[in-house]
Amino acid sequence: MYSGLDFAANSEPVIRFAFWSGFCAVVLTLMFIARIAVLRMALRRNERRKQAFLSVWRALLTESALATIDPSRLPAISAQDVVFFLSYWNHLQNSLRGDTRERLNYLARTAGIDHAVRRMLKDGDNAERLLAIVSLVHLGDKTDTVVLKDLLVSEQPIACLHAARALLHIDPGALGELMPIIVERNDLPTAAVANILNEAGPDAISPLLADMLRNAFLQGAAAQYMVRLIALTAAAHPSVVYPSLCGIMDKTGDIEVLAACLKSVRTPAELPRIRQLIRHPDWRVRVHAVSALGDMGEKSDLELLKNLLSDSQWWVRYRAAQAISRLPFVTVDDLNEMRAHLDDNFAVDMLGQVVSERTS
Amino acid sequence: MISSLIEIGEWIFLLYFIGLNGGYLALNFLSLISLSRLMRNRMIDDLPQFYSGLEPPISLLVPAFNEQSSIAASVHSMLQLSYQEFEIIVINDGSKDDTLKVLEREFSLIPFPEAYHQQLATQPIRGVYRSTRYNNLRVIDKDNGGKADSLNAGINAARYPLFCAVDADSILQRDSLQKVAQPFLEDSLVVATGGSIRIANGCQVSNGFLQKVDLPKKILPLLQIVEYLRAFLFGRMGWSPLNAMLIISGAFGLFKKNVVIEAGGYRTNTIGEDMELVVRIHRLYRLAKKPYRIVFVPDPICWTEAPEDLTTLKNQRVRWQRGLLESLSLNIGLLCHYRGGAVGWLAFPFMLLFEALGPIVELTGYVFMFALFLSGMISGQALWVFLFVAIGFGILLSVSGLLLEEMTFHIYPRPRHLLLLLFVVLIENFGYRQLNSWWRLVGLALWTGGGKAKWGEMKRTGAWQK
Repeated sequence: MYSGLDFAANSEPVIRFAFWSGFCAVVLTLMFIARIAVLRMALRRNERRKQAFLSVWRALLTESALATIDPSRLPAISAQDVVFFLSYWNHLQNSLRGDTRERLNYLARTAGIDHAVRRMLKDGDNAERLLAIVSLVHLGDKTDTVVLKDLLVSEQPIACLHAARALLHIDPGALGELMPIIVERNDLPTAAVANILNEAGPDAISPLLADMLRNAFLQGAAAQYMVRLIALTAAAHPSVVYPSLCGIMDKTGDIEVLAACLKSVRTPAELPRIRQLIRHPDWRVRVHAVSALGDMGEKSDLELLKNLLSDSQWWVRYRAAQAISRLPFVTVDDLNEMRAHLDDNFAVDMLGQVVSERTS
Repeated sequence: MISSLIEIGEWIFLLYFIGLNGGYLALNFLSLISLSRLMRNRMIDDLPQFYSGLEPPISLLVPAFNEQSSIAASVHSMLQLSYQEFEIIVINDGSKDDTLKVLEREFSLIPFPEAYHQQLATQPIRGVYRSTRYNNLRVIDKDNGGKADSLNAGINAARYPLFCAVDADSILQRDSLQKVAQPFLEDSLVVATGGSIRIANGCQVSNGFLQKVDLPKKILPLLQIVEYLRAFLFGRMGWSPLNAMLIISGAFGLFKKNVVIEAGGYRTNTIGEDMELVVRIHRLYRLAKKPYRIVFVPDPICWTEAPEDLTTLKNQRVRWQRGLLESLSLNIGLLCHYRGGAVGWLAFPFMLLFEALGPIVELTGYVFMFALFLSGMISGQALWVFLFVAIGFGILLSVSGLLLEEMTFHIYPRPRHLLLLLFVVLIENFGYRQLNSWWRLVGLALWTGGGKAKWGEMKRTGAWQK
């Protein structure tokens, strides 16, 4: 009878090599199929377990949100089920307000979940650690701030972001410590950092941000970092951060930094400087100066803006037309009349577009 | 002498097959690492999201040519995408049907005096329209110039720093833009991202959104599901961590507008304009030593209808092969260039050797072995072993695609889905893959002949769409 092993031993080398290569492919294929089957079974088992757990605990958690529940009624929660509990518990915490959240915390503590969360934070995998961090926000226990502060320097950006958010919720006073860390970590998206600063509120972040801006500029920080810091000032009180921003505008030679400042600063005190900057040789500066003038400009600025309708850069022409259209004393009739008296075709087209945008 | 030559030939084909499949297995391994890392952070559904309003706004560019039956539903679904700020620009590429009329009626379009910003040359623009019902919807009506020309016109009209090229018949997830834009938020060096495309045949789609995932009843789309799993889950995911991904599907890709304009926009004289642009960006950035990243987002964020008949499928595959060859030949300077990095030294040679020229070696291998067997120059054993290796590795690769899917998104939820896909994995190696190789060989021959490439008729049934 034909045997693969006999054949493999007795054939020429190329055939032997081919046979064993194919044999390895078949073995690997069977291993992969087995792995797929195991994964699918595990998925279904996990799903069934979750449904069984939630069928009991969904009612208990909903009931506990309405009234304090007798601890003796709570079934024990196995280590495997803690994730299911926390997922649903966090969901309720996010949907409810006021006393109900305290009652949910009481239930969690009574069921020993707070200890389980700390164990997850210490020994869990990445996903479990994230779930634990999010849960700590709701538990709100100040003793957890030490471990959260350690997580601010985690190699994982997502862990750092959630730890920062949790820390802010538990101890708003930690802002001074965490803000430089999350702002300076360039692996954290600016949008995500801005979200955290928004949650902290302008009262808390404005003085810190103003200091950071001033110090960074004095120490000659990289333009990329300065631009990030300036973008974050959108969440701050203008009156607090504008002096720093204006100081930077005054002295910086970097186009990106200057453009970022122009995008952020909206104070009439800066109008003289902005009027100068609309003639800047770099169009990136002109475009932001024109937008700023559109937000704060006076009647006397209309001529300046009209001149920019003939700028060599499409974006400057577009922003100039939008700026004119935004000026509170300019009506649609004024725009049409202005358009009728323009000589430059680019300017006519651009103003026509913006009039149409305004009226449609 | 002849037997030595035969043995050399056997070794060449065998080593080629093993090299090809070994390469794919290596990509599979890289994907496995990247996907495992990615999925570890995705296990928790209820994590709060960090949206702040600083997300870059996106211009969605939708080229449309004779899409009167589907364009309204597509645009309605795109208008419902969940993203901070985006605009939709439909580019009617000189449609011969009522595409423009349908758009005018459905979205109350009025002529808009756009001061058209001509940054890339295109066919003449006939008019620009703006919806009076949706502020963020504009339509550009232009002379016919093809998909690439339409996208260039869309780029000219785009107001935002990122643009997303979308096929008019694509079905997007509500969070597609959020997912595909995420890498831009995380890394300022990212210049382009592409998403995973899945097959919509058999699924239930309502109001332009996917409601229920299911498998198609017909065999051709089923076979393509397995192909797409291979192509996206390790064909692209494997190259992405090396920053060497050469393709972003034209059905859904997000780009930095200024990068594409600097690169010269989409090339209008190629049939594979999506791949060519990506390879060109790699070439320009690598050769100029400028840091950049092109990232793949593995989430299933875009669904498309796969051909259900052989002629349409053949046209598509011939076109893809020509597109691949054009993209590589137009950027041949990147091949093994001393600044080429992983793209020039790994991805480009791999695509050239195994994807572009692969059909020649594959089909010659089959013909050579059968001819030798029929002429009595090799034994039946040798032929069977050759087939055993070729088919064994083929099945292994498809099963590994299925394994990656099961480890990550498992979007086919029922056990019967899994069993059916496993069955398809087995049968696709008996005829379908060889047929595909033949079509690719036809594509290669047509490219070598140098004739003007045509799209060919693309029949779409839209049966899954309510």
